[in-house]
Amino acid sequence: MEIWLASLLNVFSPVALLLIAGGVMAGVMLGAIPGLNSPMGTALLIPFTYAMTPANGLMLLTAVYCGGTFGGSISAILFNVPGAPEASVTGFDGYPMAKAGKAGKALGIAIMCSCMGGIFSVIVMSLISPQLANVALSFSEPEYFALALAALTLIASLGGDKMIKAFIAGCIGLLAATIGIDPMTSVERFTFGGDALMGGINFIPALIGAFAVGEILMTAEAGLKKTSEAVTKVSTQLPKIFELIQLKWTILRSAVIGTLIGILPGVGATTAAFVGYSEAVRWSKHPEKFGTGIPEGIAAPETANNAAAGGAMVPLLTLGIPGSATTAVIIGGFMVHGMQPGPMLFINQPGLMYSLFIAMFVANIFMLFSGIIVAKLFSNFRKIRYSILGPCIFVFASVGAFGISNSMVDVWIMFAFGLIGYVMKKFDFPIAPLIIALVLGELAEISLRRGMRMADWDMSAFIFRPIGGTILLLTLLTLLFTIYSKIKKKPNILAGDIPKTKKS
Amino acid sequence: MLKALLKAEVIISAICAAGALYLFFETKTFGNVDVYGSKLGPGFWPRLILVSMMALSAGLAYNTIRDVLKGKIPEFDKIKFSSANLRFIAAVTLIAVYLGLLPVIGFLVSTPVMMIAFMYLLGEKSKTWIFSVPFVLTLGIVLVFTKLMYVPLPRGMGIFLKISHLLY
Repeated sequence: MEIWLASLLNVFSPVALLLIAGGVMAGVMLGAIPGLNSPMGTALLIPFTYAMTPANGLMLLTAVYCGGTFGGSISAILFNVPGAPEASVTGFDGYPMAKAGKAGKALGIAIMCSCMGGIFSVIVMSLISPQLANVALSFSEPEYFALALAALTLIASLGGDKMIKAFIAGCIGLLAATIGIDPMTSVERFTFGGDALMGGINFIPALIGAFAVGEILMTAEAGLKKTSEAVTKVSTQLPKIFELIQLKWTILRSAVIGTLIGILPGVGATTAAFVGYSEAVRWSKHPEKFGTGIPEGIAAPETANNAAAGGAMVPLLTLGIPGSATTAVIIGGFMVHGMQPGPMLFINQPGLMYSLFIAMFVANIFMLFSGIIVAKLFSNFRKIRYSILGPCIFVFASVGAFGISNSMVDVWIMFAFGLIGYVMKKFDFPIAPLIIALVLGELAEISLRRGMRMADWDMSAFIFRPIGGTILLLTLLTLLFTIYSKIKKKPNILAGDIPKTKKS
Repeated sequence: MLKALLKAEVIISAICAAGALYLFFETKTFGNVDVYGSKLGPGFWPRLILVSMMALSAGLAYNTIRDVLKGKIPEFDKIKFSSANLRFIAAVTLIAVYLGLLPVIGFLVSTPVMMIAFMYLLGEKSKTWIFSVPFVLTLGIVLVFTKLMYVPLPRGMGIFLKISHLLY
């Protein structure tokens, strides 16, 4: 108890509060601008933390991390260009909502749900970090495969009445994920002898291309008549209590999913957002509405990705294993101060650990205010005519794609996916399955192959493990129900459809 | 039947299936790596996807042709070339030329030129906006990305390299 009180005093000192507020604001700004992100921001800030106390320095870095995870959703909602990978899914429903003149509401849901997801994971992290770390360690390749497969089955639900088109889009995404050097055997796949594609296809340029560049090309073709919808006044509206109550199960489910996925080393907030979204679709009473601009479609990924940010701190603090790119950078922050994250840190520096937990809690509260301020700033850009905004978005998209690895290959990939996105939009192929498959393709493939190798080619190892087997069984059942109900045009009971009965 | 075969979905299916078939043969070049033997080698997963893609493409083509023949969806109508198509081709060409010239001319010079052309293409009338936004935005991006974030934006060659050195 004494340690908790000392940590509270530590966090609520003026300097620490200022650092947390500044860190969150910087993180949200960095996240919102395509091409800049929280790993970059935390890496740049590490040298500055050298002059601070270890607690203050690490609080600053974690605040940037929390802010950056949310920030990407602002540009995803307003311009369909996710500022950070974690916000990729937010644009699926956020942008259609913004186009329908509800950008303020979409931003409000994103801010509130990010805050709630973040706070949930911090509370969980504070209470049961060591136990959660043990659960994470019990996850092996079969569980990762089951998780990826569960999220991939979302494609069937997202396709609506265009299921074959959705599956074709998914196949293109899965195929694109195989391009480059095979991680298991180092064999080059679909590189056609050149070195441009050896590194594979990064999904951020692909995503920016398919959504943003595709949209710009569609608008160029349609002319300015189509673009008058962009000229709207945007004012962030936080959701009302009854709206949050309506979203309670989506938020709670995504918070749990996000925290658990965040804990898994190397999986991260992006996968959490996709899985959170897929589960929201799976359990929704109206899965066909996802992708058209509904609050659940924003609440699910935003809660999950911010919960994952907290979850990713668990393996970092308890085992010294980074759960995401930014936590890997934060390890550097510990090392600058001569500390090694891991179990001994809880014994040697308990005050620092609790200070970090409280700081993350406070950072998530500050995120509400920072989010509103930055969203207000960015939403002003939406008032600009598309004939001016379109080229600006394209330049930001290009710089964002280039900045990932300072390579023109990524910019060309963005352009190629822009053309693919244009064709898909024009001929009514859903784009979301392409991106979902591209993101999860490698995880699914490698966990399957590695898992089979570990089990000496025995498939039962995937089926009879308690966690992995259960996820696989649930996935199979829901997939069969979705396909069956769509073929027979019957109400999808699992998705909450109510069967029609004859009036007596 | 011919008007059903010319539907965009059928043509896209044919392209997808042909592409998948070509890539399927490409996977034969991956070979089997000794350390994992022939089981689930580097070609296993791509082949699985490609076979699925061919089957799905066939399914989409079949469904489209069936729906056209049953009159559920309209059959193929002749292609009408309009100014919209021209704008699209111009936008694609502009982007391709811009990306192609970026390493040669550099970000600083090529970006304002591309933006001005793009704004004209999208129908912007205000000359004040057309000749201010591209320069302000380019300058802002150059300063933020190169000075604050150390992103090495393309500088170009020759004279353009020298111009870029004036700013970053």
